[in-house]
Amino acid sequence: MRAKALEGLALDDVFIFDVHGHADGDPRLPMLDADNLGLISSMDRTGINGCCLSSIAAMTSNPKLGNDYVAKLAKEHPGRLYGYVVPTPYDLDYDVESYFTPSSGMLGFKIHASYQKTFISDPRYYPAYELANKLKLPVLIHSWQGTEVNQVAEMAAKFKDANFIIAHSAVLPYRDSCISVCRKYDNLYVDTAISHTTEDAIPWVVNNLGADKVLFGTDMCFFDCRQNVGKVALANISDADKIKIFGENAKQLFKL
Amino acid sequence: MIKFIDANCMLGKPMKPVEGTPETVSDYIEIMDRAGVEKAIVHHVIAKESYLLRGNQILIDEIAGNDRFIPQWILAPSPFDEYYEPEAWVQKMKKHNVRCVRLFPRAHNFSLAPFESGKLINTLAKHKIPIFMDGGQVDNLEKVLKDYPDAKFIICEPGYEGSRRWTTLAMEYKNLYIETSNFVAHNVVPRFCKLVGADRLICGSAMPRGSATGAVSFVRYTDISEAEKKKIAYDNIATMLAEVEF
Repeated sequence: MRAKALEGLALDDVFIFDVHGHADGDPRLPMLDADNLGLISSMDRTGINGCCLSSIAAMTSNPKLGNDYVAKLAKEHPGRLYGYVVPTPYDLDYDVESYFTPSSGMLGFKIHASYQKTFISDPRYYPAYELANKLKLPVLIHSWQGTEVNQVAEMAAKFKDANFIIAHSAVLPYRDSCISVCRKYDNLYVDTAISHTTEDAIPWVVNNLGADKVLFGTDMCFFDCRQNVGKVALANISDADKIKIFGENAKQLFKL
Repeated sequence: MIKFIDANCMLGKPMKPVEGTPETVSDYIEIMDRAGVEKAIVHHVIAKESYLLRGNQILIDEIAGNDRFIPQWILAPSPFDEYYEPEAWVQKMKKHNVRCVRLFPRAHNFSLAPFESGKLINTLAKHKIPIFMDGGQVDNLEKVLKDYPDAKFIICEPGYEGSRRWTTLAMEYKNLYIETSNFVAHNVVPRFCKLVGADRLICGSAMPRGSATGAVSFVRYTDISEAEKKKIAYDNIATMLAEVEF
């Protein structure tokens, strides 16, 4: 793995599943090639086998438009692209359950409460959390601050059969609160998605939380996946831990 | 294997360190070996956060005898006798083979406008000494690029959110170079290479805030030619440093 990473070769000898991908666009920044071809090209280049996507449009403006687009990508690229359903707190009649049909490739929920101008523990998200609880689905939650981490923990305590993934917070410099709540709840996990963080971010999480609870995420195409592949492949941790983080943990959590 | 110079590193212990981040020469060497980085350009936290002259000297002392580190001094203009006159400063740089500088106009509370920084920047330009600045430190970069057309400015940690703006500026101004730490919008580097050229990108990690393994992997895996990667990883900055005229 290390030798290939040092040569910039695709890591084709390890299963890599990206739990944190995005399709569509964001007017604030260029999300170039954020379509099926662009995503798959970057995945092939680095050796990412599968990626679970949520739609930026679903989080920021039109859930149905965005979720339908991701569902279409998942259907067209089985085994490579998968999808999260983004629920909306503003239309309680919106049917999210219908996305989870057999072999749809739709694997869980993505919550981005700050985009949707509310909070993670907003009861209007409860129908989604209840469904995740019933179907034992993963729920990836954007989380940038201690208060958001605590809200994810609150939901993890309430919906014990759902598995919650705290995005970003474990690899930010103020990571301690994230790690303490993840130690407390068995159904709390973290991802590695970040654009720019310290060299020791991933080893620190592994040493303080354990590799079993760390999932590989890139935030592609919100930004590029390439640096995050290298950060894991060249991290100062064992190959066994890298294999868990890159995909073995996700295999179990996402029932791949 | 492509050789790398990490063009953006800071030695020393900040006031609020993050556990596990590199501070010493040996911390850096462990990471550089693991990431496949041959050399690193380093400035010192004391020069950034406390006293320029002392921090610059501490840097020289800490890296003495180790050819994997390229010293970078932090400079600032002053009308008083606290610092050196620009030409005297350059001669001190010559003595220690310091071939690049870094400015912190916002943090060190000075303007880059000619009335305050003109003498310093024009002296650096005369000696072809590259000037590094963090993206968040500069107001109205376009004016700076216009005011000093002969100076070479390397903007560090530009931020992926500003990729459109940085690229447009680089298309317009030949004296602007972009350091790649956090210039990581998806597939922006291949577009930048087509629109501006690989000659204007320089690989850096921004350690201790950033990651060397991330920075070098970003270049290694980017969909550009090997020749372009080589320029970004090593040749552009090596050439710039070699062109300095003392």
